[in-house]
Amino acid sequence: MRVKEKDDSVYRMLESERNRCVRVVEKICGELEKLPKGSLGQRKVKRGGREYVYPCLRYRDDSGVKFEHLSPEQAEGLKSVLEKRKKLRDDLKATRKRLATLDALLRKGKGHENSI
Amino acid sequence: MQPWMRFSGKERAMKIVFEHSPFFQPVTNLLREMERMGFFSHGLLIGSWPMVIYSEHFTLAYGFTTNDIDFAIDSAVKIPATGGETIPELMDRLGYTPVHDYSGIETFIQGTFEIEFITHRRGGKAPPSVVIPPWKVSAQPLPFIDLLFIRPATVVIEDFSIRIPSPEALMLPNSSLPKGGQVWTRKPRKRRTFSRVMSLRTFPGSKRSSGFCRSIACRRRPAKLSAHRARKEGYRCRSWIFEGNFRGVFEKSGIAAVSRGQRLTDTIRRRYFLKRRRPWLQNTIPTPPIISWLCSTNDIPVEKQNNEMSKR
Repeated sequence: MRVKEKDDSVYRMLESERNRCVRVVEKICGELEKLPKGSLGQRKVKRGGREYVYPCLRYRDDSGVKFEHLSPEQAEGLKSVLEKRKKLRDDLKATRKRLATLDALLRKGKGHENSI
Repeated sequence: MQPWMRFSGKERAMKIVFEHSPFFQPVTNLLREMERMGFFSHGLLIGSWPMVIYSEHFTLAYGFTTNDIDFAIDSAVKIPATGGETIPELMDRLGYTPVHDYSGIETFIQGTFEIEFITHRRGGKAPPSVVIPPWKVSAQPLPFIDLLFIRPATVVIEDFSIRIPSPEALMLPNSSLPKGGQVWTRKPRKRRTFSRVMSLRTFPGSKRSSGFCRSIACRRRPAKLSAHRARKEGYRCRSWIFEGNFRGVFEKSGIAAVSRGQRLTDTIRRRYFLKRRRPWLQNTIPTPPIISWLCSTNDIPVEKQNNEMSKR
């Protein structure tokens, strides 16, 4: 009976890539925890018949949406950090997708191995 | 004259030329920028990405790459200070986000790509990360990275050139040299027998068979057998230690391990045993009698080796 030659190197490669993806996900999650959550916005406050506009950080907490007033300098500083956070979230999404693909491939490979 | 003495150590490094880049566009751009900032004068592209070059140049059956792009940096002390762009600045310009893990190692991430820098660890205890001063990047120190810098190959791609480890150098780090080799303890009876560092050659018929690989591992000989007895009982080079997952790739491409040649072994010997005089490595490098024992396995005719390989 002809049997397909099993190539371990392929599975080893896929497994190591999967492990790497897991490590990357952990790294990104660790970095995301360090970064502030939310998005920058402006809040209008009416006092004494005048309207003041403050930059603020909006974020969701257990108790609901929070607004944190910021100075213009703080807002400027937070802008780049929030952009970094957004980019990292995109990277995390892409890595998780890759991880899911690798998991599916490895599962399929194992199933194939068992059937032989 | 022992055969291991023949190697001069001054052989010309391999040079590979590509008219079109074998890499994806983002990786090509990254390498081009790295070359512009002068990284490859003291750095190498390592990991799975040189495999793309090997598979193209040596016509291997296939070569996988991970999305992890690793760069090795030679001794940080040797790198001259330049007032140019640093690596984090370059990565930022190319859209890579820096991520620091708990040990301080810096990784640059873009999508699923991850860039890491690795440097040589000189043995003993070392900090988990080392900052390379001129480039201001923190690299992970790992042992035996300096082996990759033995006669690295230069690859000319389009309008720039990079350096990658020569294939034979890639095969050794995973073999963790201190565990192999002849380890003499104070009590001469308690010695471990030689286990690795052998040679490799290409099979006739595979393209570019000359000058490919010269390093490989051999099966561990049982400790109770003497070298003479083991040789009589037919112990020969059987197993391979390639870098990680590439064993199958090399095997499928008709590149087989045989006990022939000891040029790399000798390079290592010169590098560690004679030049640097590291006491902790001194006993791990094959000594001349061991090398001569290895050379004696050259007695197997090539045809027989081929037959043995085809049986497997």
